Amino acid sequence: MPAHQSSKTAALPNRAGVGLKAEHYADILETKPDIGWFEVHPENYMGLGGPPHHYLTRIRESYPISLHGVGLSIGGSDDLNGEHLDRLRVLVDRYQPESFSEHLAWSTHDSAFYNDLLPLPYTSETLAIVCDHVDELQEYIGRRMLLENPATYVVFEESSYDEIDFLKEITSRTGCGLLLDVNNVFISCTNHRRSADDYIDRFPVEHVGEIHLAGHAQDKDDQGHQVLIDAHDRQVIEPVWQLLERTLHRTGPVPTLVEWDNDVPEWPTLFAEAARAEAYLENARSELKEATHAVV
Amino acid sequence: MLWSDLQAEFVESLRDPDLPVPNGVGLRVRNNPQTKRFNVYRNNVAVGLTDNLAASYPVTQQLVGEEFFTGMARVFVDQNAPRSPVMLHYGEHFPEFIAGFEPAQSLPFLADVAMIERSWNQAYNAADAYPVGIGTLQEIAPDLLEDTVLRLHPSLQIVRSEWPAFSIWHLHQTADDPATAMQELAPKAESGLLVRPSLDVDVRLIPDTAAAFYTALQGGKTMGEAAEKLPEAQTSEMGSMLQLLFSCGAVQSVEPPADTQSSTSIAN
Repeated sequence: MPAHQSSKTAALPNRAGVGLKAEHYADILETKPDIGWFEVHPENYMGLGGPPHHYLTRIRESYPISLHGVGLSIGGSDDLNGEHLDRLRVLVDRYQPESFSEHLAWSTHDSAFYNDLLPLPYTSETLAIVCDHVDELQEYIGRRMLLENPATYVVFEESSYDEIDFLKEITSRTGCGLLLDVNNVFISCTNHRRSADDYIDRFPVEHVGEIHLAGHAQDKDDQGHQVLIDAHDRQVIEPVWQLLERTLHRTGPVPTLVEWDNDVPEWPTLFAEAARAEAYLENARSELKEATHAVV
Repeated sequence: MLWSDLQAEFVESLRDPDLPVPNGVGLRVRNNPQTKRFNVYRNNVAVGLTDNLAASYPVTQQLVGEEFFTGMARVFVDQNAPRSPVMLHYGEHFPEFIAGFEPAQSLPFLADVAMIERSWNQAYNAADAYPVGIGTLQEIAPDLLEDTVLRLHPSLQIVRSEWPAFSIWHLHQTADDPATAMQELAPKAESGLLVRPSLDVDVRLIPDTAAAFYTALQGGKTMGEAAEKLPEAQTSEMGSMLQLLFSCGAVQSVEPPADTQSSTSIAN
């Protein structure tokens, strides 16, 4: 068994958390809200010092945290950026996060960085690339990672795997876990005219270590069909909450995060979103108890 | 097609909106153009980078207006794709780009204001260190002062401008109507320093000659060597220049010449 699977790291609690924004540092430290955990993009903490590290250090003293990378380009054909791996390892060592996750996407090609989560075709070639990169990262940071399903706007002619089969294959080859972004499921399924319920029902829930929720924007494509965009700039919409409920019904209570990265609201608004997610988790906990009682 | 080849096509189309959507994107269905869908990615990349510049250079943006700034930032972004996934430092060369950007020449101070904003970001993200007070200098034997080195704070930035760039920057932090207030400014050169001894970045005007003195100290020169940067008439002001440097927390340690006395510093 690889080292990253045997190492004992504390896990995130099966509660609601939010993406940590600089705008909320002071509110959080003053009010110490009853919230399960916080998630940060490690790329925002790659300066040598200053207020970002000061506040994250203090918040970390009171809460579990998750590092959620956005810049490693796991789905790209370039080798992983060694300097970036070093920077990630420094942060993992410094903050000892309860979880580390990244995306099934790419952002770097030929050493140029594109600052977005770009899509990849699902083929045996890309599967091998992604698995090599996941193996390399897990080896490097000495722990298991979670890989997130993407929000996509286009599909590739070449794809020979369905997204869920592709993710399943990655988990079985690398031992990594999955981060199920329910908003991404809703976006991708709407964009490619598939059933989001069916996606959730088929997802390999035994590998899910975390769930994401967020708000999205709407646009139209060349045919006038709806295209949803993963904007993280508003509240989670009703159908996505319903999809969360459907997911939790299968997974049981799982660490669940609300992401709000653009047009960031005042702290109470974001905290209220987390409270709503917590209510769904509470239901999931009750369901689990009832099910356990029924068995016993 | 190899994934690396398809990626190469993908990024080419991503960077140039006049190119068609790459082959292989979208299912090969008749009359099913993918342009608007592909444009979501184009837009994410272009807007993401220009927004990043706008967040790092807010006063520069106020000075030229949002529309002009976005146009200028787009030209910069086209010529300067990021090479690193760490966006904290993206746009470090934006002030130099502005200095050579023809349409911005009517605002000759613009590049210098951008330089202050870049320095602010560098000070904000620099390594942390505890500053020492001027008392540490007073402990050094007078005959050793000339050969003593001041290790300055890692966040310290010194900026010199031929224009009142610091006053312009300051008005945009405080004035209700900075555009009007700016018209009252005399067109004189200004120097300043930025330093973050703890959490807040401190921005101060300094005498022009002090800038040369501080820059020499920052480069590792001894106090004696740095003093040579001061004109004869101003060596008497060295005391007040040092006072200012210590009082704003810009000195990390005082290091008298080796083999005479151990350095007086507080480790971080």
